[in-house]
Amino acid sequence: MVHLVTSDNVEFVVDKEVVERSVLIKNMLEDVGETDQSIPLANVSSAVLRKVIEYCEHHRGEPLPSADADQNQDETRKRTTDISEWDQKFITVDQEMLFEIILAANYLDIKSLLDVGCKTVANMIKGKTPDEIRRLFNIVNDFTPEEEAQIKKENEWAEDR
Amino acid sequence: MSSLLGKDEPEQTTDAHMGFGLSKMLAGSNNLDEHEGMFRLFKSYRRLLRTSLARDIGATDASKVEEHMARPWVVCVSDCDQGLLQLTRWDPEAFLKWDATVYSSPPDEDKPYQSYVSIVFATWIVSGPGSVGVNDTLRRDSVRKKVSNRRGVSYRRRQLVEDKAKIVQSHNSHKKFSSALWRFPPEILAEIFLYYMLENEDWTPAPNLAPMVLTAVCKRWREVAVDTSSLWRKLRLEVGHGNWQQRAFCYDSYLKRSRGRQLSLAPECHNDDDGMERLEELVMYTTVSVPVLTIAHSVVLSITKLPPNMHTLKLMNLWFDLKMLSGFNPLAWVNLTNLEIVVGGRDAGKIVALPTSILVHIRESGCGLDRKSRAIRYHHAPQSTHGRGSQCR
Repeated sequence: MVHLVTSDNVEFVVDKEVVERSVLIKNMLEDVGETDQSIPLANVSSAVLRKVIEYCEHHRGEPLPSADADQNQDETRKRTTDISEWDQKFITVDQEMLFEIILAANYLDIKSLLDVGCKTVANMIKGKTPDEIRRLFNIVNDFTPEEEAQIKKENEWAEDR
Repeated sequence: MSSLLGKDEPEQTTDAHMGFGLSKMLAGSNNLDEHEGMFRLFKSYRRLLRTSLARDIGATDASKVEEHMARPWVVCVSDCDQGLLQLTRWDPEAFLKWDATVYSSPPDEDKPYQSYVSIVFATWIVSGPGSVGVNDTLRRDSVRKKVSNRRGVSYRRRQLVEDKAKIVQSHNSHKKFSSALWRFPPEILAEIFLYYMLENEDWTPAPNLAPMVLTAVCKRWREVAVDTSSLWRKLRLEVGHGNWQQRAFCYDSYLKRSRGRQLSLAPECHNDDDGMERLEELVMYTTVSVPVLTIAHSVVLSITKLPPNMHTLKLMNLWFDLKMLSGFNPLAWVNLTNLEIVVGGRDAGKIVALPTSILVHIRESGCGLDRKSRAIRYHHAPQSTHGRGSQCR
Protein backbone atom coordinates (compact mmCIF):
# COMPACT_ATOMS: atom_id res chain seq x y z
CA MET A 1 0.00 0.00 0.00
CA VAL A 2 1.13 3.54 -0.73
CA HIS A 3 0.51 6.55 1.51
CA LEU A 4 -0.29 9.82 -0.23
CA VAL A 5 -0.70 13.18 1.49
CA THR A 6 -2.60 15.92 -0.28
CA SER A 7 -2.11 19.68 -0.22
CA ASP A 8 -4.79 20.01 2.48
CA ASN A 9 -2.99 17.47 4.64
CA VAL A 10 -5.30 14.50 4.12
CA GLU A 11 -3.68 11.09 3.93
CA PHE A 12 -4.82 8.42 1.49
CA VAL A 13 -3.72 4.81 1.60
CA VAL A 14 -3.95 3.36 -1.88
CA ASP A 15 -3.16 0.03 -3.46
CA LYS A 16 0.16 0.12 -5.29
CA GLU A 17 -1.31 -1.29 -8.49
CA VAL A 18 -3.91 1.47 -8.52
CA VAL A 19 -1.60 4.35 -7.75
CA GLU A 20 0.97 3.21 -10.29
CA ARG A 21 -1.30 4.36 -13.07
CA SER A 22 0.38 7.63 -12.27
CA VAL A 23 3.72 7.55 -14.06
CA LEU A 24 5.04 10.15 -11.63
CA ILE A 25 4.30 7.99 -8.59
CA LYS A 26 5.36 4.80 -10.38
CA ASN A 27 8.77 6.29 -11.13
CA MET A 28 9.01 7.66 -7.63
CA LEU A 29 8.32 4.25 -6.10
CA GLU A 30 10.83 2.63 -8.42
CA ASP A 31 13.47 5.15 -7.39
CA VAL A 32 12.77 5.02 -3.66
CA GLY A 33 11.82 1.36 -3.37
CA GLU A 34 9.51 -0.04 -0.70
CA THR A 35 8.80 2.62 1.89
CA ASP A 36 6.25 3.39 4.56
CA GLN A 37 6.81 7.09 4.19
CA SER A 38 4.01 9.22 2.81
CA ILE A 39 4.35 10.80 -0.61
CA PRO A 40 3.38 14.47 -0.45
CA LEU A 41 1.29 15.71 -3.37
CA ALA A 42 1.52 19.45 -2.90
CA ASN A 43 -0.41 20.25 -6.07
CA VAL A 44 -3.42 18.04 -5.47
CA SER A 45 -6.24 18.59 -2.97
CA SER A 46 -8.03 15.74 -1.24
CA ALA A 47 -11.26 16.29 -3.22
CA VAL A 48 -9.38 16.02 -6.50
CA LEU A 49 -7.22 13.08 -5.43
CA ARG A 50 -10.35 11.19 -4.40
CA LYS A 51 -11.64 11.53 -7.97
CA VAL A 52 -8.28 10.58 -9.45
CA ILE A 53 -8.10 7.45 -7.30
CA GLU A 54 -11.65 6.56 -8.35
CA TYR A 55 -10.53 6.74 -11.97
CA CYS A 56 -7.38 4.71 -11.34
CA GLU A 57 -9.36 2.07 -9.44
CA HIS A 58 -11.74 1.66 -12.36
CA HIS A 59 -8.94 1.36 -14.91
CA ARG A 60 -6.75 -0.84 -12.72
CA GLY A 61 -4.82 -3.41 -14.71
CA GLU A 62 -5.27 -1.76 -18.09
CA PRO A 63 -2.02 -1.38 -20.06
CA LEU A 64 -0.28 1.95 -19.70
CA PRO A 65 0.57 3.81 -22.92
CA SER A 66 4.26 3.49 -23.72
CA ALA A 67 6.43 6.51 -24.46
CA ASP A 68 6.96 5.27 -28.04
CA ALA A 69 3.25 4.94 -28.61
CA ASP A 70 2.87 8.46 -27.35
CA GLN A 71 5.38 9.77 -29.84
CA ASN A 72 3.78 7.86 -32.68
CA GLN A 73 0.36 8.99 -31.61
CA ASP A 74 1.42 12.59 -31.89
CA GLU A 75 1.96 12.31 -35.60
CA THR A 76 -0.30 9.69 -37.04
CA ARG A 77 -2.85 8.66 -34.47
CA LYS A 78 -6.46 8.52 -35.35
CA ARG A 79 -7.61 10.67 -32.54
CA THR A 80 -11.18 10.63 -31.50
CA THR A 81 -13.21 12.69 -29.14
CA ASP A 82 -15.31 9.70 -28.12
CA ILE A 83 -15.31 9.03 -24.38
CA SER A 84 -16.40 5.73 -22.88
CA GLU A 85 -19.67 5.67 -20.98
CA TRP A 86 -18.03 5.17 -17.59
CA ASP A 87 -15.45 7.89 -18.22
CA GLN A 88 -18.17 10.23 -19.38
CA LYS A 89 -20.13 9.69 -16.19
CA PHE A 90 -16.96 10.01 -14.13
CA ILE A 91 -16.00 13.32 -15.71
CA THR A 92 -19.45 14.84 -15.32
CA VAL A 93 -18.39 17.26 -12.61
CA ASP A 94 -18.52 21.00 -12.22
CA GLN A 95 -16.20 23.08 -14.37
CA GLU A 96 -13.63 23.85 -11.67
CA MET A 97 -13.37 20.21 -10.64
CA LEU A 98 -12.91 19.25 -14.29
CA PHE A 99 -10.05 21.72 -14.64
CA GLU A 100 -8.49 20.55 -11.36
CA ILE A 101 -8.69 16.92 -12.50
CA ILE A 102 -6.94 17.85 -15.74
CA LEU A 103 -4.19 19.66 -13.83
CA ALA A 104 -3.82 16.74 -11.43
CA ALA A 105 -3.68 14.22 -14.30
CA ASN A 106 -1.00 16.33 -15.93
CA TYR A 107 0.99 16.62 -12.69
CA LEU A 108 0.65 12.93 -11.83
CA ASP A 109 1.26 11.97 -15.46
CA ILE A 110 -1.87 9.90 -16.03
CA LYS A 111 -2.18 10.19 -19.79
CA SER A 112 -5.53 8.47 -20.22
CA LEU A 113 -7.19 10.70 -17.59
CA LEU A 114 -5.62 13.79 -19.12
CA ASP A 115 -7.04 12.75 -22.49
CA VAL A 116 -10.52 12.28 -21.05
CA GLY A 117 -10.35 15.75 -19.48
CA CYS A 118 -9.03 17.44 -22.61
CA LYS A 119 -11.62 15.71 -24.80
CA THR A 120 -14.35 16.86 -22.46
CA VAL A 121 -13.23 20.49 -22.64
CA ALA A 122 -12.87 20.18 -26.43
CA ASN A 123 -16.44 18.89 -26.62
CA MET A 124 -17.60 21.80 -24.48
CA ILE A 125 -16.25 24.41 -26.90
CA LYS A 126 -17.45 22.56 -29.98
CA GLY A 127 -19.65 24.72 -32.19
CA LYS A 128 -19.31 27.82 -30.07
CA THR A 129 -18.33 31.32 -31.11
CA PRO A 130 -15.45 33.13 -29.34
CA ASP A 131 -17.97 35.11 -27.35
CA GLU A 132 -19.84 31.98 -26.28
CA ILE A 133 -16.56 30.35 -25.24
CA ARG A 134 -15.68 33.40 -23.17
CA ARG A 135 -19.03 33.27 -21.44
CA LEU A 136 -18.77 29.53 -20.86
CA PHE A 137 -15.40 29.72 -19.12
CA ASN A 138 -15.69 33.24 -17.73
CA ILE A 139 -12.77 34.41 -19.86
CA VAL A 140 -12.11 38.12 -20.25
CA ASN A 141 -11.64 39.53 -23.72
CA ASP A 142 -8.23 41.09 -23.07
CA PHE A 143 -7.25 41.95 -26.64
CA THR A 144 -5.83 45.38 -27.28
CA PRO A 145 -7.47 47.46 -30.03
CA GLU A 146 -4.48 46.61 -32.26
CA GLU A 147 -4.97 42.89 -31.69
CA GLU A 148 -8.70 43.22 -32.32
CA ALA A 149 -7.91 44.93 -35.62
CA GLN A 150 -5.52 42.13 -36.58
CA ILE A 151 -8.13 39.47 -35.82
CA LYS A 152 -10.71 41.42 -37.80
CA LYS A 153 -8.33 41.57 -40.73
CA GLU A 154 -7.71 37.83 -40.57
CA ASN A 155 -11.44 37.18 -40.50
CA GLU A 156 -12.45 39.66 -43.16
CA TRP A 157 -12.38 37.34 -46.13
CA ALA A 158 -14.05 34.51 -44.29
CA GLU A 159 -16.83 36.79 -43.05
CA ASP A 160 -17.54 38.11 -46.54
CA ARG A 161 -17.90 34.69 -48.08
CA MET B 1 6.56 58.34 26.09
CA SER B 2 8.12 61.10 24.08
CA SER B 3 11.12 58.96 23.39
CA LEU B 4 8.93 56.74 21.27
CA LEU B 5 8.16 59.45 18.77
CA GLY B 6 10.05 60.04 15.57
CA LYS B 7 11.94 63.31 15.21
CA ASP B 8 9.79 64.53 12.39
CA GLU B 9 6.59 63.95 14.26
CA PRO B 10 5.35 66.54 16.72
CA GLU B 11 4.87 65.31 20.18
CA GLN B 12 1.17 64.64 20.66
CA THR B 13 0.96 61.77 22.98
CA THR B 14 -2.47 61.78 24.48
CA ASP B 15 -5.53 60.37 22.90
CA ALA B 16 -7.28 63.63 23.49
CA HIS B 17 -4.64 65.52 21.60
CA MET B 18 -4.68 63.14 18.72
CA GLY B 19 -8.41 62.92 18.55
CA PHE B 20 -8.60 66.65 18.58
CA GLY B 21 -6.01 66.94 15.87
CA LEU B 22 -7.81 64.53 13.64
CA SER B 23 -11.25 65.89 14.21
CA LYS B 24 -9.99 69.38 13.62
CA MET B 25 -8.38 68.34 10.41
CA LEU B 26 -11.40 66.39 9.30
CA ALA B 27 -13.84 69.11 10.18
CA GLY B 28 -13.00 70.65 6.85
CA SER B 29 -12.72 67.35 5.07
CA ASN B 30 -14.70 68.58 2.10
CA ASN B 31 -11.88 70.99 1.33
CA LEU B 32 -9.06 68.57 2.04
CA ASP B 33 -6.34 68.59 -0.47
CA GLU B 34 -6.20 64.90 -1.18
CA HIS B 35 -2.48 64.29 -0.94
CA GLU B 36 -1.60 66.69 1.80
CA GLY B 37 -4.61 65.70 3.83
CA MET B 38 -3.83 62.00 3.55
CA PHE B 39 -0.21 62.60 4.45
CA ARG B 40 -1.15 64.50 7.57
CA LEU B 41 -3.67 61.87 8.50
CA PHE B 42 -1.16 59.13 7.99
CA LYS B 43 1.33 60.83 10.28
CA SER B 44 -1.33 61.26 12.93
CA TYR B 45 -2.21 57.65 12.55
CA ARG B 46 1.40 56.61 13.04
CA ARG B 47 1.50 58.62 16.25
CA LEU B 48 -1.65 56.94 17.47
CA LEU B 49 -0.24 53.52 16.81
CA ARG B 50 3.12 54.29 18.33
CA THR B 51 1.60 55.56 21.54
CA SER B 52 -0.99 52.85 21.81
CA LEU B 53 1.52 50.17 21.01
CA ALA B 54 3.75 51.32 23.83
CA ARG B 55 0.94 51.56 26.33
CA ASP B 56 -1.62 48.93 25.47
CA ILE B 57 0.47 45.93 24.62
CA GLY B 58 3.20 46.68 27.03
CA ALA B 59 5.97 47.38 24.58
CA THR B 60 7.78 49.89 26.73
CA ASP B 61 11.09 49.29 25.12
CA ALA B 62 11.57 52.09 22.61
CA SER B 63 13.65 50.05 20.20
CA LYS B 64 11.04 47.28 20.14
CA VAL B 65 8.34 49.76 19.34
CA GLU B 66 10.46 51.29 16.62
CA GLU B 67 11.06 47.83 15.20
CA HIS B 68 7.31 47.34 14.92
CA MET B 69 6.84 50.73 13.38
CA ALA B 70 9.58 50.14 10.81
CA ARG B 71 7.78 47.14 9.34
CA PRO B 72 6.01 47.47 6.02
CA TRP B 73 2.81 49.41 6.01
CA VAL B 74 -0.21 48.53 4.04
CA VAL B 75 -2.62 51.38 4.33
CA CYS B 76 -6.11 51.19 2.95
CA VAL B 77 -8.24 54.27 2.74
CA SER B 78 -11.89 54.08 1.97
CA ASP B 79 -15.04 56.15 1.91
CA CYS B 80 -13.24 59.50 1.70
CA ASP B 81 -16.11 60.98 -0.22
CA GLN B 82 -18.55 60.19 2.52
CA GLY B 83 -16.40 61.82 5.13
CA LEU B 84 -15.28 58.53 6.56
CA LEU B 85 -11.72 57.38 6.52
CA GLN B 86 -10.51 53.95 7.30
CA LEU B 87 -6.84 53.21 7.59
CA THR B 88 -5.53 49.73 7.95
CA ARG B 89 -2.03 48.58 8.60
CA TRP B 90 -1.40 44.93 8.06
CA ASP B 91 1.80 43.67 9.56
CA PRO B 92 2.36 40.22 8.08
CA GLU B 93 5.42 39.49 10.21
CA ALA B 94 3.77 39.99 13.53
CA PHE B 95 0.29 38.87 12.44
CA LEU B 96 -1.00 42.17 13.62
CA LYS B 97 -3.77 44.13 12.04
CA TRP B 98 -4.22 47.73 13.00
CA ASP B 99 -7.40 49.51 12.19
CA ALA B 100 -8.09 53.15 12.73
CA THR B 101 -11.42 54.45 11.67
CA VAL B 102 -11.92 58.17 11.59
CA TYR B 103 -15.45 59.39 11.32
CA SER B 104 -16.03 62.93 10.32
CA SER B 105 -19.62 62.52 9.26
CA PRO B 106 -22.25 61.85 11.83
CA PRO B 107 -23.44 58.35 12.65
CA ASP B 108 -26.72 60.01 13.39
CA GLU B 109 -28.07 62.56 10.99
CA ASP B 110 -29.73 64.43 13.79
CA LYS B 111 -26.37 65.34 15.25
CA PRO B 112 -24.16 66.41 12.40
CA TYR B 113 -20.44 67.07 12.42
CA GLN B 114 -19.64 64.93 15.37
CA SER B 115 -16.36 63.17 15.11
CA TYR B 116 -14.52 60.51 16.92
CA VAL B 117 -11.60 58.25 16.41
CA SER B 118 -11.82 54.57 16.92
CA ILE B 119 -8.84 52.31 16.97
CA VAL B 120 -9.15 48.58 16.93
CA PHE B 121 -6.17 46.47 17.74
CA ALA B 122 -6.46 42.89 16.78
CA THR B 123 -3.76 40.34 17.22
CA TRP B 124 -4.17 37.49 14.82
CA ILE B 125 -2.40 34.35 15.78
CA VAL B 126 -1.76 31.60 13.31
CA SER B 127 -2.30 28.62 15.52
CA GLY B 128 -1.80 25.91 12.95
CA PRO B 129 -2.05 25.09 9.26
CA GLY B 130 -5.27 26.31 7.82
CA SER B 131 -6.64 27.89 10.99
CA VAL B 132 -6.50 31.51 11.95
CA GLY B 133 -8.04 32.78 15.12
CA VAL B 134 -8.42 36.03 16.93
CA ASN B 135 -6.41 35.80 20.08
CA ASP B 136 -7.12 39.11 21.55
CA THR B 137 -9.09 42.12 20.52
CA LEU B 138 -8.84 45.38 22.29
CA ARG B 139 -11.04 48.17 21.27
CA ARG B 140 -10.25 51.64 22.36
CA ASP B 141 -12.37 54.54 21.46
CA SER B 142 -9.91 57.31 21.96
CA VAL B 143 -12.12 60.27 21.57
CA ARG B 144 -15.85 60.28 21.51
CA LYS B 145 -17.74 63.47 21.50
CA LYS B 146 -21.47 63.45 21.79
CA VAL B 147 -21.74 60.01 20.25
CA SER B 148 -23.14 57.18 22.26
CA ASN B 149 -21.75 53.65 22.28
CA ARG B 150 -24.86 52.40 20.63
CA ARG B 151 -24.48 54.80 17.72
CA GLY B 152 -20.82 53.98 17.36
CA VAL B 153 -21.54 50.29 17.16
CA SER B 154 -24.34 50.73 14.65
CA TYR B 155 -22.09 52.94 12.57
CA ARG B 156 -19.32 50.37 12.73
CA ARG B 157 -21.80 47.68 11.75
CA ARG B 158 -22.92 49.68 8.75
CA GLN B 159 -19.33 50.12 7.76
CA LEU B 160 -18.67 46.40 8.03
CA VAL B 161 -21.69 45.63 5.88
CA GLU B 162 -20.38 48.04 3.26
CA ASP B 163 -16.92 46.50 3.47
CA LYS B 164 -18.39 43.06 3.05
CA ALA B 165 -20.26 44.15 -0.07
CA LYS B 166 -17.02 45.53 -1.51
CA ILE B 167 -15.11 42.35 -0.75
CA VAL B 168 -17.83 40.20 -2.33
CA GLN B 169 -17.85 42.44 -5.40
CA SER B 170 -14.06 42.33 -5.64
CA HIS B 171 -14.05 38.55 -5.20
CA ASN B 172 -16.61 38.12 -7.96
CA SER B 173 -14.73 40.35 -10.36
CA HIS B 174 -11.50 38.45 -9.71
CA LYS B 175 -13.10 35.02 -9.66
CA LYS B 176 -12.22 34.41 -13.29
CA PHE B 177 -8.53 34.77 -12.44
CA SER B 178 -8.71 32.18 -9.71
CA SER B 179 -10.10 29.54 -12.07
CA ALA B 180 -7.90 26.50 -12.63
CA LEU B 181 -8.28 27.20 -16.34
CA TRP B 182 -5.69 29.97 -15.91
CA ARG B 183 -3.24 27.49 -14.47
CA PHE B 184 -3.33 25.27 -17.55
CA PRO B 185 0.15 25.11 -19.07
CA PRO B 186 0.29 25.78 -22.83
CA GLU B 187 0.70 22.09 -23.64
CA ILE B 188 -2.65 21.23 -22.03
CA LEU B 189 -4.42 24.02 -23.91
CA ALA B 190 -2.76 22.83 -27.11
CA GLU B 191 -3.94 19.27 -26.44
CA ILE B 192 -7.51 20.52 -25.96
CA PHE B 193 -7.25 22.50 -29.19
CA LEU B 194 -6.02 19.44 -31.10
CA TYR B 195 -8.98 17.39 -29.91
CA TYR B 196 -11.23 20.28 -30.85
CA MET B 197 -9.75 20.26 -34.36
CA LEU B 198 -10.71 16.63 -34.84
CA GLU B 199 -14.32 17.58 -34.68
CA ASN B 200 -13.90 20.08 -37.46
CA GLU B 201 -14.51 18.40 -40.80
CA ASP B 202 -14.57 21.65 -42.68
CA TRP B 203 -11.14 22.85 -43.67
CA THR B 204 -12.38 26.26 -44.76
CA PRO B 205 -10.88 29.15 -42.81
CA ALA B 206 -13.77 30.73 -40.95
CA PRO B 207 -14.00 32.92 -37.83
CA ASN B 208 -16.29 30.50 -36.03
CA LEU B 209 -14.53 27.32 -37.07
CA ALA B 210 -11.39 25.69 -35.77
CA PRO B 211 -8.67 26.76 -35.66
CA MET B 212 -9.48 30.44 -36.27
CA VAL B 213 -12.08 30.59 -33.52
CA LEU B 214 -9.40 29.73 -30.99
CA THR B 215 -7.38 32.82 -31.89
CA ALA B 216 -10.23 35.18 -31.09
CA VAL B 217 -11.08 34.18 -27.51
CA CYS B 218 -8.35 35.85 -25.47
CA LYS B 219 -4.65 36.66 -25.65
CA ARG B 220 -3.50 33.47 -24.04
CA TRP B 221 -5.60 31.20 -26.23
CA ARG B 222 -4.44 33.10 -29.29
CA GLU B 223 -0.77 32.71 -28.35
CA VAL B 224 -1.15 28.99 -27.76
CA ALA B 225 -3.24 28.44 -30.92
CA VAL B 226 -0.83 30.38 -33.14
CA ASP B 227 2.15 28.54 -31.65
CA THR B 228 0.58 25.11 -32.17
CA SER B 229 1.61 24.36 -35.75
CA SER B 230 -0.43 21.15 -35.91
CA LEU B 231 -3.62 23.21 -35.83
CA TRP B 232 -2.77 24.84 -39.14
CA ARG B 233 -2.11 21.82 -41.29
CA LYS B 234 -5.46 21.50 -43.02
CA LEU B 235 -6.60 24.13 -45.44
CA ARG B 236 -9.24 24.43 -48.11
CA LEU B 237 -8.12 26.74 -50.88
CA GLU B 238 -10.89 28.27 -52.89
CA VAL B 239 -10.53 29.75 -56.30
CA GLY B 240 -13.10 31.68 -58.19
CA HIS B 241 -14.82 34.30 -56.09
CA GLY B 242 -14.21 36.89 -53.44
CA ASN B 243 -11.33 39.19 -52.82
CA TRP B 244 -8.19 37.28 -53.67
CA GLN B 245 -5.88 39.61 -51.74
CA GLN B 246 -7.83 39.13 -48.53
CA ARG B 247 -7.92 35.41 -49.11
CA ALA B 248 -4.21 35.27 -49.82
CA PHE B 249 -3.58 37.06 -46.53
CA CYS B 250 -5.62 34.42 -44.75
CA TYR B 251 -3.84 31.53 -46.52
CA ASP B 252 -0.52 33.15 -45.79
CA SER B 253 -1.37 33.25 -42.08
CA TYR B 254 -2.15 29.53 -42.19
CA LEU B 255 1.04 28.63 -43.96
CA LYS B 256 3.21 30.71 -41.65
CA ARG B 257 1.59 29.14 -38.62
CA SER B 258 1.97 25.60 -39.96
CA ARG B 259 5.75 26.23 -39.82
CA GLY B 260 6.72 23.70 -42.42
CA ARG B 261 4.67 20.85 -40.94
CA GLN B 262 3.05 18.34 -43.28
CA LEU B 263 0.16 20.02 -44.99
CA SER B 264 -3.19 18.69 -46.06
CA LEU B 265 -4.69 20.87 -48.74
CA ALA B 266 -8.08 20.91 -50.39
CA PRO B 267 -7.92 23.13 -53.48
CA GLU B 268 -11.43 23.92 -54.64
CA CYS B 269 -12.50 25.54 -57.85
CA HIS B 270 -15.96 26.87 -58.57
CA ASN B 271 -16.80 25.93 -62.12
CA ASP B 272 -19.66 28.36 -62.31
CA ASP B 273 -17.16 31.16 -61.85
CA ASP B 274 -14.92 29.66 -64.46
CA GLY B 275 -12.27 29.96 -61.79
CA MET B 276 -10.03 27.21 -62.96
CA GLU B 277 -9.97 28.72 -66.42
CA ARG B 278 -8.66 31.92 -64.96
CA LEU B 279 -6.24 30.23 -62.62
CA GLU B 280 -2.90 30.52 -64.33
CA GLU B 281 -0.74 29.17 -61.62
CA LEU B 282 -0.90 28.70 -57.89
CA VAL B 283 2.34 28.16 -56.09
CA MET B 284 2.53 27.95 -52.34
CA TYR B 285 5.67 28.13 -50.34
CA THR B 286 6.53 26.92 -46.91
CA THR B 287 8.61 29.02 -44.58
CA VAL B 288 11.70 27.44 -46.09
CA SER B 289 10.60 28.49 -49.58
CA VAL B 290 10.09 24.99 -50.92
CA PRO B 291 7.18 24.72 -53.36
CA VAL B 292 4.45 22.69 -51.78
CA LEU B 293 1.90 22.51 -54.53
CA THR B 294 1.62 23.80 -58.05
CA ILE B 295 -1.63 23.79 -59.95
CA ALA B 296 -1.65 25.32 -63.41
CA HIS B 297 -4.29 25.90 -65.99
CA SER B 298 -3.70 22.63 -67.76
CA VAL B 299 -5.18 21.30 -64.57
CA VAL B 300 -4.20 18.05 -62.98
CA LEU B 301 -1.58 17.11 -65.52
CA SER B 302 0.35 20.02 -64.16
CA ILE B 303 0.48 18.53 -60.71
CA THR B 304 3.88 17.21 -61.39
CA LYS B 305 5.67 18.61 -58.43
CA LEU B 306 4.48 17.56 -55.03
CA PRO B 307 6.96 17.88 -52.22
CA PRO B 308 8.08 14.75 -50.37
CA ASN B 309 6.54 15.94 -47.10
CA MET B 310 3.05 16.24 -48.57
CA HIS B 311 0.96 13.21 -47.67
CA THR B 312 -2.60 14.38 -48.10
CA LEU B 313 -4.12 15.95 -51.17
CA LYS B 314 -7.74 16.81 -51.78
CA LEU B 315 -8.83 17.99 -55.19
CA MET B 316 -12.42 19.12 -55.10
CA ASN B 317 -14.75 19.58 -58.05
CA LEU B 318 -11.97 19.61 -60.57
CA TRP B 319 -13.06 19.51 -64.15
CA PHE B 320 -11.03 16.88 -65.85
CA ASP B 321 -11.16 13.50 -67.46
CA LEU B 322 -10.11 10.70 -65.18
CA LYS B 323 -8.12 9.19 -67.99
CA MET B 324 -5.71 11.99 -67.36
CA LEU B 325 -4.77 10.37 -64.11
CA SER B 326 -2.81 7.78 -66.09
CA GLY B 327 -0.64 10.53 -67.45
CA PHE B 328 0.51 11.76 -64.06
CA ASN B 329 4.10 11.82 -63.14
CA PRO B 330 4.44 8.89 -60.72
CA LEU B 331 7.01 10.68 -58.64
CA ALA B 332 4.55 13.43 -57.89
CA TRP B 333 2.14 11.06 -56.16
CA VAL B 334 4.32 8.47 -54.56
CA ASN B 335 4.42 10.04 -51.10
CA LEU B 336 0.70 10.63 -50.78
CA THR B 337 -1.07 8.63 -48.12
CA ASN B 338 -4.43 10.34 -48.46
CA LEU B 339 -5.95 11.37 -51.75
CA GLU B 340 -9.41 12.68 -52.38
CA ILE B 341 -10.61 13.80 -55.77
CA VAL B 342 -14.14 14.96 -56.36
CA VAL B 343 -15.06 15.12 -60.04
CA GLY B 344 -18.03 15.54 -62.33
CA GLY B 345 -20.39 12.59 -62.62
CA ARG B 346 -19.43 10.82 -65.79
CA ASP B 347 -16.46 8.87 -64.47
CA ALA B 348 -17.88 8.05 -61.09
CA GLY B 349 -17.96 4.43 -60.10
CA LYS B 350 -14.84 3.53 -61.99
CA ILE B 351 -11.71 1.94 -60.70
CA VAL B 352 -8.72 3.87 -61.86
CA ALA B 353 -5.11 2.78 -61.76
CA LEU B 354 -2.70 5.50 -60.86
CA PRO B 355 0.81 5.39 -62.28
CA THR B 356 2.16 4.06 -59.03
CA SER B 357 -0.05 0.97 -59.40
CA ILE B 358 -2.24 2.28 -56.63
CA LEU B 359 -5.84 1.32 -56.93
CA VAL B 360 -8.27 4.12 -56.46
CA HIS B 361 -11.90 3.43 -55.92
CA ILE B 362 -14.37 6.00 -57.01
CA ARG B 363 -17.61 6.30 -55.18
CA GLU B 364 -20.38 8.76 -54.63
CA SER B 365 -19.39 11.66 -52.51
CA GLY B 366 -21.02 12.05 -49.13
CA CYS B 367 -19.54 15.42 -48.35
CA GLY B 368 -22.56 17.51 -49.05
CA LEU B 369 -21.34 18.36 -52.51
CA ASP B 370 -23.44 18.32 -55.62
CA ARG B 371 -25.24 15.01 -55.90
CA LYS B 372 -23.83 14.43 -59.35
CA SER B 373 -20.31 14.64 -57.99
CA ARG B 374 -18.32 11.56 -57.34
CA ALA B 375 -15.36 11.23 -55.07
CA ILE B 376 -12.22 9.23 -55.27
CA ARG B 377 -10.80 8.68 -51.86
CA TYR B 378 -7.67 6.78 -51.39
CA HIS B 379 -5.64 6.04 -48.30
CA HIS B 380 -2.70 3.82 -47.80
CA ALA B 381 -0.08 3.29 -45.20
CA PRO B 382 3.16 5.19 -45.85
CA GLN B 383 5.21 1.99 -45.95
CA SER B 384 2.84 0.24 -48.35
CA THR B 385 4.51 -0.52 -51.67
CA HIS B 386 1.46 -1.78 -53.47
CA GLY B 387 -2.05 -0.56 -53.89
CA ARG B 388 -3.58 -3.85 -52.84
CA GLY B 389 -2.98 -2.89 -49.28
CA SER B 390 -4.96 0.24 -49.72
CA GLN B 391 -8.05 1.05 -47.80
CA CYS B 392 -10.92 2.81 -49.38
CA ARG B 393 -13.59 4.66 -47.48
